[in-house]
Amino acid sequence: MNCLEFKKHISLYLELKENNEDTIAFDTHLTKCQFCQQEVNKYLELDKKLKEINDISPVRNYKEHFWKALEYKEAFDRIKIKKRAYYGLAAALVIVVSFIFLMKFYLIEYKPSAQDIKDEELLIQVNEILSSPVISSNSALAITEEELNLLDSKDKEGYIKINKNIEIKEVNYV
Amino acid sequence: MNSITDEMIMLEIKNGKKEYFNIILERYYKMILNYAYRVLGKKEDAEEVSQEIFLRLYFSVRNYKPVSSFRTFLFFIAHRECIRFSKKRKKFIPILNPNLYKYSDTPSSIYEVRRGEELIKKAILKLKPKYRSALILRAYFGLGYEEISKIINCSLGDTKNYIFRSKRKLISILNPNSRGAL
Repeated sequence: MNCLEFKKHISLYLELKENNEDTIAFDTHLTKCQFCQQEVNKYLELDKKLKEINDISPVRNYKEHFWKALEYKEAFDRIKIKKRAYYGLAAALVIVVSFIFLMKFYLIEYKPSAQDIKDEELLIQVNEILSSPVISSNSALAITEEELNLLDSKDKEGYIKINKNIEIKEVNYV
Repeated sequence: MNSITDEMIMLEIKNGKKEYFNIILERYYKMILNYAYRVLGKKEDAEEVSQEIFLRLYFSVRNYKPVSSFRTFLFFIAHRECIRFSKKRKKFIPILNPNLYKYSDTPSSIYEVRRGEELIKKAILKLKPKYRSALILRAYFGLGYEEISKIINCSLGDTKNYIFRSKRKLISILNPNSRGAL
């Protein structure tokens, strides 16, 4: 075994040594190589140094401390559970109210009142009047004979043509 | 009472005999306190965390199944709790070089011991939490690699690697001149 191999397997060597297992191959190299011996010593020294941290002792009444802490923790958990229950109830209430609100305004069929129906019909009639291009012959807005004569022959023809194509409706003004 | 195993005690507690937890406290409180002290580096923190560890243990009794040894189970909780605490406090004390640590020139053997203790404590704190736990469990509590791997939740090979790397890092921290020797 050379130094390179020893360095590579130094962890294995330390482990084997810890377990009192066969380390002949390593030991033979160590007896010859001072450098590797130094490296091993560093690890052994470290193990000693690690033991330098002294133990600390618990406080005298550590058990009482523990049971008191447990008592507090249990009480705190109880409060936490209660709080969670309240929050849960509040959330459930909000969900139920929102659901009812939605059902009322969107999901349940809307039934209009008699007045609403009357208004709707009136609105339809007004729309019809406004969209109609026809003006009744009785209307003050209808073109008179004199005005017709004043028009050019081309315009006159167009006017008559349009009047013939459009179905005249009787409109009842409100 | 001394003959009763930890696993049996846990089952008794599970059955409602709370007073049995005192035996667990007597047997393991000091061990866990010292584990937390070595991982966290401060006595006050160690006391706080050990209490938290035992509270967690107490509440986990309901789900306790004696599949692995009680000690493994307890250290598993302790390891997780220490890491959680470290993250919460973000207390990985940074030291650039422990050899630059200032000491008074008064020659005193006690002081030298203290100094050595402080140096090694601070060097350990420079390790990553998982490495630190693995090393402490091995060096101070003599736990087997397999048990440690269960506690820190990684493979056996990784555990051995963590411990060896931790030692190599500690050597390089404690002897800055030897850095790069390996």
